[in-house]
Formats: sequence, structure tokens, C-alpha cells
Amino acid sequence: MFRGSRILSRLRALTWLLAGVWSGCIAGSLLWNLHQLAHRSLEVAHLTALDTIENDLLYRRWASKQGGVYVRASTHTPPNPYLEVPYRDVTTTSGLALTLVNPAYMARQVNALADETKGSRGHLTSLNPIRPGNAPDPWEAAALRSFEQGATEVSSFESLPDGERLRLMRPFVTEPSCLECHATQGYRVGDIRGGVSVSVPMAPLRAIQQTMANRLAGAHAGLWMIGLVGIGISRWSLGKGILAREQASADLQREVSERRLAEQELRASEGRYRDLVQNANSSIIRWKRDGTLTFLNEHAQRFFGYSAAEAVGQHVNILLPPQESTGANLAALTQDIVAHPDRYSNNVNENICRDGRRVWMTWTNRPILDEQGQVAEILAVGSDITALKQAEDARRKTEERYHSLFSTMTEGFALHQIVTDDKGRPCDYIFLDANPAFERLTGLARADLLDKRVRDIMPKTEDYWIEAYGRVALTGEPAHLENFAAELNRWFESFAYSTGPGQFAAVFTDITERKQAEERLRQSAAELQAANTSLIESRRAALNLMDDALAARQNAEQIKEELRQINAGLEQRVAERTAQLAAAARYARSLIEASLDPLVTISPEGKITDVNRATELVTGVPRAELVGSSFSYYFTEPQRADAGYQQVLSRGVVRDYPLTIRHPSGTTTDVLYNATLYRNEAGEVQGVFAAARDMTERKAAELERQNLRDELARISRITTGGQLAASLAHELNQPLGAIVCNVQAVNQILAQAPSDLAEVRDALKDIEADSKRAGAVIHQLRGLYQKSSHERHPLQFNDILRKTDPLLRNECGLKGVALRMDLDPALPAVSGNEIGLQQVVLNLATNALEAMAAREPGARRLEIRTSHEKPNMVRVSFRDSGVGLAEDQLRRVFEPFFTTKPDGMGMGLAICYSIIEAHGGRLWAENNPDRGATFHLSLPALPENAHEHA
Amino acid sequence: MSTPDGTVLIVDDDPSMRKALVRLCQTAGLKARASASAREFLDAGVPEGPSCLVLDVRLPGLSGLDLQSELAARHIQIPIVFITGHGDIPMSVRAMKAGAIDFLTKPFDGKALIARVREALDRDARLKSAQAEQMAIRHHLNTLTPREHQVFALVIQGILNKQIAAELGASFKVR
Repeated sequence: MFRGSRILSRLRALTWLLAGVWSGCIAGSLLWNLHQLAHRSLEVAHLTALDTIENDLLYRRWASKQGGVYVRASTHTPPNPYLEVPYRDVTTTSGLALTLVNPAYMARQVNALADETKGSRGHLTSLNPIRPGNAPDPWEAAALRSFEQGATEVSSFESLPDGERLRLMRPFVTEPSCLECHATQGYRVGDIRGGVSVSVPMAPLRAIQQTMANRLAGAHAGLWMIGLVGIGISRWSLGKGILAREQASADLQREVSERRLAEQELRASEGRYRDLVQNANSSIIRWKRDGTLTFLNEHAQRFFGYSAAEAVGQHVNILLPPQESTGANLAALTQDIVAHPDRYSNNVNENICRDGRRVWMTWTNRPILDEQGQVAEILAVGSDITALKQAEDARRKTEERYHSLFSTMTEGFALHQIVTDDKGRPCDYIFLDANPAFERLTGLARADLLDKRVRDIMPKTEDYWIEAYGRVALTGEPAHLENFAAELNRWFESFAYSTGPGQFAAVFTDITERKQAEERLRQSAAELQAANTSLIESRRAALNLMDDALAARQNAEQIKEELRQINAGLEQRVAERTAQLAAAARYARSLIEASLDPLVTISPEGKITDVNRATELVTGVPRAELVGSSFSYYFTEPQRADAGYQQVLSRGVVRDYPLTIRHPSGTTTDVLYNATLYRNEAGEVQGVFAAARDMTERKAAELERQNLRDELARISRITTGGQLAASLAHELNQPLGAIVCNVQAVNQILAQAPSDLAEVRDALKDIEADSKRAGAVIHQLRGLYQKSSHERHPLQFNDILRKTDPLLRNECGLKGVALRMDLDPALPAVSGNEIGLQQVVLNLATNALEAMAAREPGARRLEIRTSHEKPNMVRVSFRDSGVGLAEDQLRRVFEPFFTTKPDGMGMGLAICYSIIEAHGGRLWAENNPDRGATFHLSLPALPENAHEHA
Repeated sequence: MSTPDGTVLIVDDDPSMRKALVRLCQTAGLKARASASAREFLDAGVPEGPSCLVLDVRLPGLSGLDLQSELAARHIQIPIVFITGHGDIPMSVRAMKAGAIDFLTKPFDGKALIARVREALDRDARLKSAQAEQMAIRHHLNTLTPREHQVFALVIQGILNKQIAAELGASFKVR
């Protein structure tokens, strides 16, 4: 039997249990049956005994009823000596001797017979027998005694010498018939006069019982055996069945768990696959061979605008336009893909979205085969290349224009290769390309430039050009240079940047005139530097923006590279193509965008076809709007613009054509236009290229400078006002104090009675005069804070001095300076701005006072003198007795930020200088022969007839 | 009310200020005299009777504060009320330490000025009467004989007449 199975061990236990139970049952049954047998034997014996007794009693009763029975007397049956009745012995007539046999005697004889034959013994006995031989044995005696107690029967098994016997005894009840013979004994009816005992041999019964028992045992044993065998067999077969089942179950379980694992894996991979499909950044669709769509991933749904429910079931042709924009017919495309899927493993075609939007996409189509190896479905993965394609198309179109833009730019442009010496330092460069503007600037033809070294063809080229360009080419950092080129005897401004390792491109502008103008400007005031610096800063910022744009463009290209790497194959091809085109486009476009001058291309119909960033800025209109619109629209004088355009068409070129561009905000930009025709490869006129030179910058800078100057002057006036605050306050307090006193006086007069009204009137007049005086001071103060207008009116310088006199006197008084004014009464008028000239006077005066601060009080003198300097100048001199000026300071003292005071700003005299200059006059300083200095200013006098008292 | 004898002496370089101050004092019942500079004032001299000075600090030539020092040097005691168009603390402290009555900045309250002026005149009057009294005493002192001087010296020491007599050997007699 097999071991190790739990079921089997249980089965074994069960089997033993069953066998045990079976055995128990059999044994139980056997025992019970045996018991029953024994009991039956007993009962049989009992019944036999009773029967015997009954029989006995019956015969006895009969005999008794007969009164006895006469039998032949014999030796065998002698007359009963104990029967004492008269009629005991009888002789028949025939001489037969008969004796009366009483029931007891009969019974006895019968019993003795019975005993010989059957074995059952009967015995009639009593405790008081007539016949002593009828005396009971002990057992009977005991029984008889119990009858006397009331027992009706006594029986027990006794083991006698001849075997086991059942002894039964019943009481013998006197019946009426008994009385016949036993009345003499005193018997009464119902008395118990002994008993009848019977003993039945058990041996035959036991023999039968034994036989039966054997038979029973045998049967039981047989049954038991059969049972055990049956159990054994069923257990064996059951056991086998269980094992087999278990094995099968184990196999089944294994199979089930294997299958479950496989299912999980399948589900997981399914899940991954689903995730991949759903989250892909490309559109993934599946369609059956008949074209019915069965699946669109998330991306495809979003991209094409169909939900899964809407698209699945439809024909895949809903995603295809019937005809591509290029003209190709797409009607049979789907069927062809199904028929020859390998031809379309990578395919580019146009698709259409739900909203009608056409897109270009690149698809990878894979067939999914059924069991027969036929195409059941097509799995297509697509990416949107619309933008790329459009970019490709756009770039191809503009490439043609760029080259001509290149030719028409007013700036010179050249591409170079740097040459280094054996130590790696730049020492020369070779021209790789140049535009017509460059040819014009240098006076050299392109053919003469190409592949030539600059030191060969322009030997006077300074080292600083080569060094700077060398840095650009080798480090990749762009440069902005403004330098003199001895070779051409001009100043050039150039923007250089690197187009590749060891290469650089440069855009040139001739700035010689500007340089000269700048020199002039620089001499006027240092504050212009700030404005210029900011201009350079913004240019630099523009360069930075350009770099940022380049970097951003490169960045964008990088990102596109990454996208392409997802779809290998086709993407690479497109990427290469695009990179080539992009490089070419970058090269060309950067030239255009680098230009600060607005560049524009115009179609033969006068519509703008392309612009650069500078054009957008100056017109304030975005590129998209500009392209396609009429170019002359953006000028303040469109007809003149058109006329210029016509000139280009007829003559082929236009130079320095002045126009004004207008901006939506209202601002205008004055420019000079340079334009040429451009033609395609066949030489047909394609349109006009125009470049503008901005003039307003310079004008704006000029305006800015003027504003700054004015502001500075104002601040200086305010500062002067601050310096003179004490005097101004004093000047105000005097009239105010007088007013208060006069008012109090008036009150006092009116408090008296009668009041002196004449005195009151007098006082009021004084009050009025003082109020006006105070007002004048306020007015003067206000004048200091106002922005100056630049209006000039005819005025007398003497009046200005008179107006400032109180203030000056106060100041001089404070500082212990003796003031003297010497005014020429016949002084001619001048055209001037009162506030500005006042400012000059106050400034020069305070300057003189400061110069004398170190002198002893008695020696401080300020002399202001006006005079008519023939023929037509007005001279005003401020002479002090101060410390004087060093020789080199006489000029420098008018420079901005020049000061000898530790806390001075140094602007006062510079501002005076510029004010007087703006008046068309001169301001200068001289040292006095004795002590101190004199500041002179001269202004042009107005002609006599314009003389007016201001 | 007005002080019978009392002159307000005004020194200010601004003409309208002078005129207004004179008017103010006169309408208040005071006599007034104006000068345009310190020099002018000194040349004019000090009038009889109580007087006070209304003095501007900023004057051409000698300044107001300098005039104050000059008067003190000359032992001319006149109470001064300073007025100024632009004062600062050091200036006012200097003026007050040197004994000025007050230091007012223009534009000042006219009533306040009159009050100060009256106060100044009052002081000056009291001073002058005290001075006059002292003069009289001095004069009387000068009329004493030498012997009377001796007695006087002892009397003012608080010694009793009897003791004085004993000291000087004269008999007790009261004149």
C-alpha cells in the first residue's frame, strides 16, 4: 500500500474502525444469540418441567378423581401399605387380584418409569410424608418451606451426579378429590400438602444448544470473515482510487497554478503593452484588412479628434484626405497597404483630422497575420511631421530669397577662415565669401577676395582686426568692434561671430562720418557718454538676444533630435535633410536678422514677402501681418514710397532715399532706403530688396541729450536755490515781518478813538508794497524749480542783475563780501531765456563767493560789470578777490564733474557753460593780475530796432 | 497806557521794516527813533530818559551782536530786544547770554514785540531811577567831613552809638 497520504492513513484508521465495529457487531450478535439459546434451553427445560408436572398433576388428578385406580397387583406393583382404605385390595370375579393405586403411588411409578426412559424425574413429596420414602431431599425441603411462606414455584439448576438438571417444584394443593384419602390427615381443600418436584436433565438440551451454538458461531464466523474481506477489498480499491484521484488532483492543481501564473504574466504584459500603447507619444491605430478601425490609442484619439467609440468600426479612410496636398491620390492607399504591407513599413502621407485639419505624418505599418498567415490587421504607429514639413517647405522657399538679401544688404558681409601660426595664435585670415556691399566698402571684387589672405590683399590691415577676429573664430564668442582700417582710411563698425570652428562671419558698417560727429559731440559734455553707453548696451543686449536666439534655436534643434531618435530610419533621413536645410537657413537667416537695419523683400506687385526683426520693431507690426501687405502702407508718405519703389523697378537700384516709417503708437522713424531688384535663377525679376538706415536714433539721442541737459540745469538751479535758501528765507522774512508790524499798528490805531485813518491808509499802502515784494521773491524761487523752457525773449541783462541783487547782497552780507555792481546804462538788449541767465548769474556769483571764503573778511570783494563790447556783443564780468585758478584749470573748470570742493558736484559751471553756449555766447575765465579770477560771459547783442525793455 | 518818558531805538537796514516798526511803536503810544546801521545809531547817541533797543542782527558793517558787545564795552546799559530774518540757536544763545531781553525771529507777533519793549523800558526806567538815587547818595557822601566819614564807617558796621562814642572818644549825641 502506498504511504504518506493523509487520506490513506485516515482510510486505514477508518478501516480498522470498521473492522472493529464489524467484529464488535458479530461478536455482539453471537453472544446475544448464544445467550438466547441458553435462555431458550432454559425455557424449554422449564416448560418441559412444567409440562411434566402438569402431566403428573393431570394424571394425579384423574386418578384422584377416580379415587384411585385399580391395577393388577404384582410384585412390581404391590399394594400400597400406606394406603389405609378398606377397599384397597379387590379380587375380581375372575379371581384377578386388583389393588388400588393412589395417585401418589401412580405418580411414583410413572415417575420411575419416566426416569428410566426420559430422564425426567418426578417426585411427590412433603414435609410430612406418609411414606417415608417420599421424604424430600434438602433442596425439596427448602422449596417446601418456601411454599409455606407463599411461593408458588421454585426452580433452579442443580448439578447432580448424573449431570445438570433443572429442578422445578410446585406446591401440591389439596383438591377435593384428595380428601377422600387424605382427610384423615387433616387435609383441607387449598392446603399445601407438599409439592411436586421435577428434574429435567439438561444434557440433551445442552447438546442441542451446543449444536445450535456451534452452528451459530460458525455462521457468525463466516459472516465476520466475509465482512472483513469485504472491508479489506473496498479499502484497497478505495485507497487506490484516492491515490489516483489525489495524483490527478495534484496534477490538476499544478496545472492550474501554472496556468494562473501564465495568465498573470500574460495580463501583466498585456497591461504593459496597453500602457505603452495608450501613453505613447505617437498615434497608434489598428485596422482590419477590410479597412475597419479596431483600435486608436489615447494619442491618436486626441490628435485626430475622434473618441474610441466614434472611430472604431469606421473605415480607416476617415483619417485620409482623398487627395494629398501634393496631388497624390490616396483612395487606394489602404488597400495597397494590406496587399503589400512590407512596402509601407515606413511611409509618409498626409492625413486629415476630424476638424478638417490636414497634417503630414510618418507611419510605420506592420501586418498582423492570422493562423493561415494572411494579413488580418494592420498596426500603424504614426508621428506628426507637419511642422517639419512646413519648415522644410518654408525654408526651401526662403533659401532662394536669402541669397539675394545677402546681395542687397547695405552692410558689408564677409565670411572668413582664420589662419594661425605654429603657436596657435591668429595671424591672418582667408576670405571665403563676401557680398556686394562688402565689395563696395573695400573696393575689391569678390573674385579678387575669395581664398586670398587679408594680409596679401589689404596689407595695411591692423593687427587688432586679426586678433579680435581670431578670438571670435577660435573661442566662438561674438565680437563687436569699432576700429580704424588704415587700408581704406575709414572707420568701421563690425559685428563678428563664429559660424564654425576656426571660421567667422562679420557684418561691416562704414562709420567714419559718425565717428567724426561723435568726436564733436564728446567735446560738448560728458553727460553724453551716459547716453552713448546705453546705446552700446542696447546693441550689446541685441547681440546677446541674437546669441540667445541662436542658442535657443540650437536648443530647439536638440529637442527635435531627441524626438527623431524615437522613430529611427525615416526620422534620421528627415533629420539629416532638415539639419542641412537648417544649417543653410541659419547661416542665411542669421545674416539677415543680424542686421540692425530693417530689411524687407517686396514682390513685383508691391507686397511685402519677407522682413527681418528690425523691420518688425520699427513698424511695430508683427511679421505675419507685414507679409502680404502693401509695403508703402507703413510710411507717412506712401506715394513717395511707391515712387521710390518704381524707381527701383525701372533703374534697378535706389540709394539713400529718405522716408519716414510710421509706428502704430504714433512714433515715426526717419530712414534712408537702399534697394535693389532680385532675380531668380532664370534671371526673371522676383521682386525688390530694400534696406533702411535709421536716422532717428541719432535724432533721438540728440533729443535725449538735450533733455538730460535741461534736467541737469534744473537740478543745479534747485541746488543753487538750496544754497541760497538762507538768503531767500531772509528775503521773504523782511517783507513779512514788516507786514505783521504794520497790521498790528493798524489794530492799535483802530483801538483808539478817534482813529487816525490817514495813518491807516498809509500803513495799508506799505503792506501792499511788502506783499508784492514777498511775491516777487516767491516768484523768483519758483523760477528756480521750474523746468526751463528754451524760449528766448529780448531782454536787458542789467534787469536780470537788478532782480538778483537783493539775493546777492544778502549772500555777500552773510559771507562778508563787498558787492559792487557796475552796469552800463547803454547796454544793448540780448535774446535770452530769463531763468537760464539768472541761473548763470547766481552760479557765477556763488562760485566767486566760495573762492573768497578763505580770504580775510576785509579783503573779499565781488565786482559785477556789464558792458557793450563793440561791435555787437554784450559782456558781463564777475571779478572776485579769491584764490584764483591754476593755469590748466582755467579751461577744465567748465568740464562736468570738475570740482575743487570736497563735497562739490562740479556741475554748476558746466551747466552755465552749456546755457551760454546755447545762447550763442561764450563763457571763459581769466586770472586777475593782482588776486583772484574773473569770469567773463559774452552774448550776441540784438540789433538796435529790436531793443525792448523786458 | 504809555510810559511818559521812553524812547524805542530801532536799528534795521530794511527801509520798509524800519517804517513799519516806527509806526508800530508810535501807534502804541511810544516814542520811536530809527537808524539804518549800527554806525548811524552810535553817531546819533543815546537820548535822555529810559530807552530800549530793537536791534536787527544782520546789519551792514557792524552786526547787531557786535553792537551789543560794543555797548557793553562802553558801559552803556540799554536793554536790547533782538529781531532777525534768519536766526539760529547759537546766535540766539549768544545774544541772550550777553544780556538781551529777548530774541525774536521775523515775522514776529507785533503785540509780543510791544510787550517786550514796554518791559524793557520799564526796566530801564527803574534802572535809571536807581542810578539817580545812587548818584544822590554819592553826592551826599561827598559832603561828609572826614570825622563824619569815620562815624559813618562805624555806623554801617552796625556798632551802637555808645560804642562808637567810646571808640572815637566823642559823646553820645544825635544830630
